[in-house]
Parts: sequence; structure tokens; C-alpha cells
Amino acid sequence: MKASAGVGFKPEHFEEAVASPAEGLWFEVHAENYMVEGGPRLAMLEVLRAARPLSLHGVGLSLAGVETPDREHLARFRRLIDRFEPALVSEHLAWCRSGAVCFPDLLPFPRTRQMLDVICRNIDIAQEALGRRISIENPSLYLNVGGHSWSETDFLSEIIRRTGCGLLIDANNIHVSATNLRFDAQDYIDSLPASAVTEFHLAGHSTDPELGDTLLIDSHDQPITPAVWALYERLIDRIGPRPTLIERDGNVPPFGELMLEREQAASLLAPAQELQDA
Amino acid sequence: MPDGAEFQRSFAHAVSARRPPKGMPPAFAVYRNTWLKGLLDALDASFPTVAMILGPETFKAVAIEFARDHRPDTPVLALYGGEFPDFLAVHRAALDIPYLRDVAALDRLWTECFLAPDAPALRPQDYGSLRPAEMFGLRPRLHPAARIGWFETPAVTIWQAHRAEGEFEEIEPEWRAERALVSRRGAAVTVTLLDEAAYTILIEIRNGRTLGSAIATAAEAHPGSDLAGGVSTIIASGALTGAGKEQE
Repeated sequence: MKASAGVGFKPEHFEEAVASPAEGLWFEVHAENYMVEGGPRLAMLEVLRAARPLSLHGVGLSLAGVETPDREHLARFRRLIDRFEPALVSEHLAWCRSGAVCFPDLLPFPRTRQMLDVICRNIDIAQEALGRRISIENPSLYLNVGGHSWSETDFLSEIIRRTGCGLLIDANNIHVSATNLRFDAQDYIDSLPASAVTEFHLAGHSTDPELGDTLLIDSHDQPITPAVWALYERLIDRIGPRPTLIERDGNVPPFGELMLEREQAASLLAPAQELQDA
Repeated sequence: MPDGAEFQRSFAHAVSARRPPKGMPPAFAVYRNTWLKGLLDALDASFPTVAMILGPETFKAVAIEFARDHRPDTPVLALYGGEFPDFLAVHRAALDIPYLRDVAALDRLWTECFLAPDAPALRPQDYGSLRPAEMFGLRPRLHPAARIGWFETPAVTIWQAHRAEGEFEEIEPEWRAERALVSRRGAAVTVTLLDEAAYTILIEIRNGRTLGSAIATAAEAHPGSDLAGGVSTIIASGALTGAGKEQE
């Protein structure tokens, strides 16, 4: 897919989204929201897909869970991929299942040898079952769970080397984690395995009601901040232009407002794309 | 080096325990809040009429109690909360609201209908050219998205009043049992108040009877009912599919 800018699709934006004339516009949805048997939700996605490229972003595979990914869930995901033929498929480097219980959250883990093996096994299973390469997203972290044997970027590089998966880099997640865990976001960007990156995410965050701006929350309910835009520019410089998504899940503004953020991303991508095409 | 399985078991417990374990850093609250918010958002999306009746504060308090005891076993949360109506039935918040469980059940039927499989609905023109004998021989099935509900309370009237467009108007429904058909036409889910005869016809069709036999049973049980009106309401609602003929 061309390195253009897309927005997260919200059903309330359906008519404007389908009618938008914006060049290079594409849409991303959470795969789990469309794992239903039928009805208007899937019908809407059919229309959207006929108009624009689509990206499926999973939140439920629990790739960093010690258990193997749920076969039934993989089968549901595969049916969506076969039906909608998405340009991009991604998941999170996190876990959300423990035994029979699922958590609507993206939980952290210690970056140990054992977890590296487990995660690579799970990504192999997922890529096999889904019949394609997937990309994994760098997590937002709120605390250091300790016990790490790798830095996050080295851990990501090792996963990519062993599984051949791609990397989705979320600039807001870098900013949130760097602030909360007090590491240098620029160093993080400089040590990313650039050639594996398939997509960028941009989103807003909020500050903790008690701890203020020493604890940032990856809430996707605010406009993208200047600090995150600056990291995005740095990512483009270091990695090159990649399809870039404006993510918004709460306090969803009118479609036009999201499209303004999208235009800002597109204007940063364009010169890098020209440089690459030259 | 921490064992991954042991780490995840204890982390999962700490995230969802009723009280946060002692000694956790303040940032750990973010995981506890995010977990709970995901479940509350799912309940809020699935039970909007219950939320309107209880108000946001009470709804949130009740939903938190429910979520702590009903953890999802799938990451697909669209159908989370199937036990919520029965949970409400015995909850203190429902003490003064005897119709709350039934309204929740209707919200649930709405969600089931919205997400159910697609199938071509039987349309009036599919039977309009048939002779009466042929029409009565039809053996339609309930559309996979259609749901039928019977309630001890006037929950259908109450539900409709809350979900109508425009300003909410105070209503004083007659206190009696009500029946509903929840069905899908195109992208729209509709909740239709049924009389006893139309309800009987739908139950008989669900049991595999022909249209003629279903109508005859309804006529016998509810003499004087508007059977033709009931049948046309049912068909216009998109509640039927796949009309095989009796002789086939």
C-alpha cells in the first residue's frame, strides 16, 4: 500500500467517510468489532471496503500471552481477512487472556528469553492461521514490570528476525512509554529496525487525574499533541514514509476534524515520498 | 528471571481483584481502570435504555458490580452482558423499577437482532400473487435476526417511549403483559408491540407450522383478533424468511 494517511473508521462517520474525495485516504477498524455474524455493521464495512483500502487492527489475539492464540478467534479473524482483503493486518505486542478470562486491555510482560520464545511461537501460529504476514505494534507502558533481558527495540528486532513479521510503530505509544518509564524517545526511534516498519499510528493521550503529566494514559480521546507530531517527523526521517493512521476512540470529533489531523500527517509524508520516488 | 505464566496469573488477578493488592505502584491503577472501562463501555453500548432509566451514575455503579462477577471469555465484546437482565432482576436498583429487567431483555434482543446473520426476508410481493390456499400452505421460518419476547410488564411501551425520537414524554402505560417482535429491515432494527394473536402466529411459525395452521391456532385462541393485520405487520417487519410450500 502507498504511504498515504488514513483514519480510524467510526460508524457515525460512515456517509462522510464513503463520500470523501481525499486522495490516498484509507481506513482502519478494530477487527473484533466486526467479528459478528451479519447485519448492518458488516454491510457498512463492505461499502467502505469497496471505496477504499482497509486495515484490520486486532486487539484480542493475546500474542504475548503464555497460552497459544485461541483457534476460534484466529478462525474468525481469517474469515474477516478472506472477506475484506485488507491491505494491512496488525496486532499488539501485549496479552489480554488468562485461562478462560479475557481482559479488554493490552497488558505488559517481562522481556525474557521465555517470553521471546512464547511470542515468536504465537506469531508463527497467527501468521500461519491467517495466511499472511502481520505487523505487531509497540505497546504503551505505564510501569516497569521488571525482569527484562532486552530493551524493547532489541526485543522487537529479535521477534522480527525470527518470525518475519512486520512492525507497526505508534508514535503516541513511544511518547507515553518514554514519559511514564523515563527513557529517551529519540534513542528509541534511532534503534528501531527500520526496514520492518509497515505502518505508523498517531493518537492523542490524556494525563492521569492524580499524577498529572508524569503519568500519561494512551486514551485515544484527545487531539494528537505537538510532542507526538515531533516524534512522527523524526520517525519519517529515520524510517521513511509509511501508511499512517489517525486513531481516535473516545470523544470522537466530527469527521472533518479527524481529516484535518490526517491532512497534517499527509503533508509530512508527501516530501518524504517525493524524496523516495526521486 | 520471572516465570511468564506465574507473572501473568498474578498480574491478571491484581488487575481484576475487587481491591487493588497492597504495595502496587500508583500507575498500576491505569490497568485496573482500563480493564473496567472496557467492560463498562460494552454494557453501556448494549443497554442504552437501562442507562437512560437508571441515569449514568447508578448505571455505572450497577455495571461495575456486574462486570466484577461476569468476566468475558472472548475478546469480542459485542455480545457481552447476556446475563445482565437477570442480574438486574434481583438487584436492589430494580426494587422500585419492576420493569427494569424486561427493558434490559429488550435491549439485549435489539443487540442480538443487530448482529445476527443475514437472510432474504419474505416480502409482501412474494405471496401477493398466490391464491389463499397456496398462501396458507407456505411454511416460512423466522428470519435469523428476528426475536420474540413476552414480558410480564408493559416493558415494550416503556422501551419505545425512551427510544423514540425527540423529547421524552411522560407515559402512564396500562399495567399488563406485553409482547414484542424485534426485527431488522435493511440497516434498521425495529421493536414492534404485538397483540396476542400476532404473537401466537409467530410462536407457531417458530415451531415449524404452516402460515395457515399458525393463523388457525391464533384465531381459535384469540377470537375477534385482527389476524390479517397481524400477518401483514409480521411480514412488513421482515420477520420471516424462506417460505417453503406445504407440499414441498
